[in-house]
Amino acid sequence: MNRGCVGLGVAVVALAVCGIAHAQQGVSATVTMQAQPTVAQVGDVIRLEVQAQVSGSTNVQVELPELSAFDVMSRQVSTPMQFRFGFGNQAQTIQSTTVHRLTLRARQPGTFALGPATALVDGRPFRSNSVTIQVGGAAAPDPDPSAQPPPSAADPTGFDPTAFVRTVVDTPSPYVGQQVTVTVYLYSRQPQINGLNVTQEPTTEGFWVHDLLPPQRTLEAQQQTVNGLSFQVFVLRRFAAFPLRSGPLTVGGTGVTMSSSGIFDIFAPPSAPLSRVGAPITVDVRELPDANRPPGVPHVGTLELSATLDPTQAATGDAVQLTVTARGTGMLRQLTLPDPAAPGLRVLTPEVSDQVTSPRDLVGGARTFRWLIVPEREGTYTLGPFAVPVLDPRTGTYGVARAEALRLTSAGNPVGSATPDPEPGPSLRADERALTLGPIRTRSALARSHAPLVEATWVRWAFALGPMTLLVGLAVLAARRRAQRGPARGPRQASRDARRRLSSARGHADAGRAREFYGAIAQALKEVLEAKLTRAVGSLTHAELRRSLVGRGLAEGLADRVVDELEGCDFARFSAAGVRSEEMQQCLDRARGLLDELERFVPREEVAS
Amino acid sequence: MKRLAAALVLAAALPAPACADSLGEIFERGNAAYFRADYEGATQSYEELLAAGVVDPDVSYNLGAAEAKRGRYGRAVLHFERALWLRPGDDDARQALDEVRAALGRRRAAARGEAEVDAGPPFGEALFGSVSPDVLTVLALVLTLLAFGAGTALLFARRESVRLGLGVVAVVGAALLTVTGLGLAVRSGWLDEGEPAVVLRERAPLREGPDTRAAERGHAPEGQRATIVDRERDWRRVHVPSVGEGWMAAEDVAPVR
Repeated sequence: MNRGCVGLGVAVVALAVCGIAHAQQGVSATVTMQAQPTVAQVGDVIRLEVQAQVSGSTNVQVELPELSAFDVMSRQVSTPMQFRFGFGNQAQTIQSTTVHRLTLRARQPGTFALGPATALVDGRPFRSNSVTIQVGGAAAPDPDPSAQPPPSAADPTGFDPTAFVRTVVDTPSPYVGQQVTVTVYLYSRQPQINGLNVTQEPTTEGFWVHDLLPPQRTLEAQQQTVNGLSFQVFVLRRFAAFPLRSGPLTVGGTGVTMSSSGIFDIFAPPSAPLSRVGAPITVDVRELPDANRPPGVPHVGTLELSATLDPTQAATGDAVQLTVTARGTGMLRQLTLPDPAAPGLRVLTPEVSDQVTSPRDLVGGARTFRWLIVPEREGTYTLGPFAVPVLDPRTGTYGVARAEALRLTSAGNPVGSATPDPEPGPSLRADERALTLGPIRTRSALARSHAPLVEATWVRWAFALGPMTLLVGLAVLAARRRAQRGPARGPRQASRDARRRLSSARGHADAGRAREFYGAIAQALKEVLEAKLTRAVGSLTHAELRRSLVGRGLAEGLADRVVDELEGCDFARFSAAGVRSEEMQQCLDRARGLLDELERFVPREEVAS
Repeated sequence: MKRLAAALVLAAALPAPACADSLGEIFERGNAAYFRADYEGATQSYEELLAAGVVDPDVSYNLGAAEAKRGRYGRAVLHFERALWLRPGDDDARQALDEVRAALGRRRAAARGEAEVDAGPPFGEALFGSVSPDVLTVLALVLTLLAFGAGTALLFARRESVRLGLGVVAVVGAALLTVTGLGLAVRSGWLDEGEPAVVLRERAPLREGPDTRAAERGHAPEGQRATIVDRERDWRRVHVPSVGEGWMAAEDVAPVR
């Protein structure tokens, strides 16, 4: 029996585990977190959304990341659900989505890593991504706007045990220009407020006002006990009011209408909307203290001044930009600075831009003045210093916010409406008064040498490259022509050789050597012919030689005489009649004449047959 | 080892040499002096740069402006001429030079009732003055290669049309090369008889010889262009147009280049 009970228990546990595992296998979830924007300034609104999409279970609990670095202005949770029905053998699938939307406000500068958010689905954790938010700007001082003392029974703020509106200021006796933070609360004991409308805005005559709450927000209630009763307290309005004059100034009452319902209202007709109007509140604005008051219109709050000039040197007629920036807290939009002025400077109307922030409900930011300044005369100008008296409202003491003077130098001819120089002193000559030069150069390469390029060695070699190329070309051409001509000599050389051969032939004639004589004559003529025709003629018959000579442009008569002389020399070499010296002399004379005529012969280009 | 230690101790004991101003600081100091109308101080700073070997058209321009403000127009002309030689086509320097010459003329006219001012550059310089020698060098180089290259190709070309084109290129290139070469010669001063210079003093005497006792041949006006043809000790033999040639004290005339 005991064994059976133990076995049954084990089986039950096993089945349960299997069932759970089986069930968990069917559960899935995707959790995402995103923030917009992820880069902000102190006081800016950031929207954070955590979305958990769960499949297979409706038991979802979302744990948000640590948000202590931010003020949670509002929170909204929505859970749309989707059902999918299975048909036949398919199991039913349930999908659900839970979305948490939060409105945060950056409280302090820094880099904050949020997350991950966790969704517990049937006890199983599913984590989201992490989000990093960078917050810039300066941390504001730390008033706690939410801490308010409860009203006493004698408080003339219109206490109503059902609901009432109350206006609170943080400074009942401010200085002129000092920030007064005004908050309008709705105290309600209604069980559930369905609709809430502000029907009457508070009047703020005599104040310059800046809203401190974002335009779109969700009202969140805080619990507070007043006169023994527990109320839900809603912040209807919060704004910074800067009194513009001294004396009593009133913030008017705020009117609101709300409708509400209770759990039992389904059995009763709906109740009429409830209206309430808050009581106005008056602040006693003080004049600024006179003790140690610096000259000028003081700024109430904190202030720092900085000034830049770009560029610091310019030619006359060229504009430069002077920028003065005032940063701090208070009513910066009312801050004015006098235009810089100096003889010889033309100062244009400044461009003013404002950047208003309200970190921790303290209005401040930056106000920037930009002047375009045109120096119309040469010289050195001092712009500034810039100073603004500042009253610290907490201590009631004065200080001075200061930016040091800046120096502008200009050079060049007078331009525009520049007044002429004052009467020249006696030392100035007429030519000096009339001399006008352009501005001097403020930048220079300060080159150390100026060697002309033409003196560089490589340049000279580069110039020689052209003629050298031509010479090389000529040499190549000559070599090519020589190669085409072959071993034959040039006509002139051949002519000279022929003359020498004729001279040697004369020697043969004197010695009576007829064979050698006629051989020399024929050789001389043939060498000249070969040089002219640029071909060997020894293999040609006399008829062919004649045709070749005529074909290359030689006169027919001369060609005939040349051929006849060659034939005569061939015949005479072996003939005894040629032994007579007179005949050899005549032959020599004829050969000389032929050479003279052949030297003047310029053959035509050989036509390919 | 002892010697090394002694040397180290000695080196450490020696006062650190004063760091000289950089060229940029001297330049800025000169500019600052100019801006506050201390033209003499500005001149000193700019001349310090010249003594350090700076050959820069901007320094020359600023020095010319400072000298002009001091009324030393001859020196102003010298430095503006130098700025133009270093950077041809510098309109500001050209304009400033014209202004100073006009001021010279007014001064001379005020003193003597009439004046003649050397207002125009030589013809060659007027023709080629706006082009730097380096540009002319590059141009001449390119034209040389073009002309000779075309001529060389002409030797080997066979087609008549190609030979015609190459011939034209060679001839045109040669013509342009001639003009460019002439310009280069003018800008480089190869055709000058001597060094271009400027007379620095009004009525600077021109003498027969390099001696104060030599007879005077004439006087050269301040700002007048001249040519230095010879040097001997502290004297310069100069040729001054419309005055003649003679010897002038070195302090009265300075070369532009």
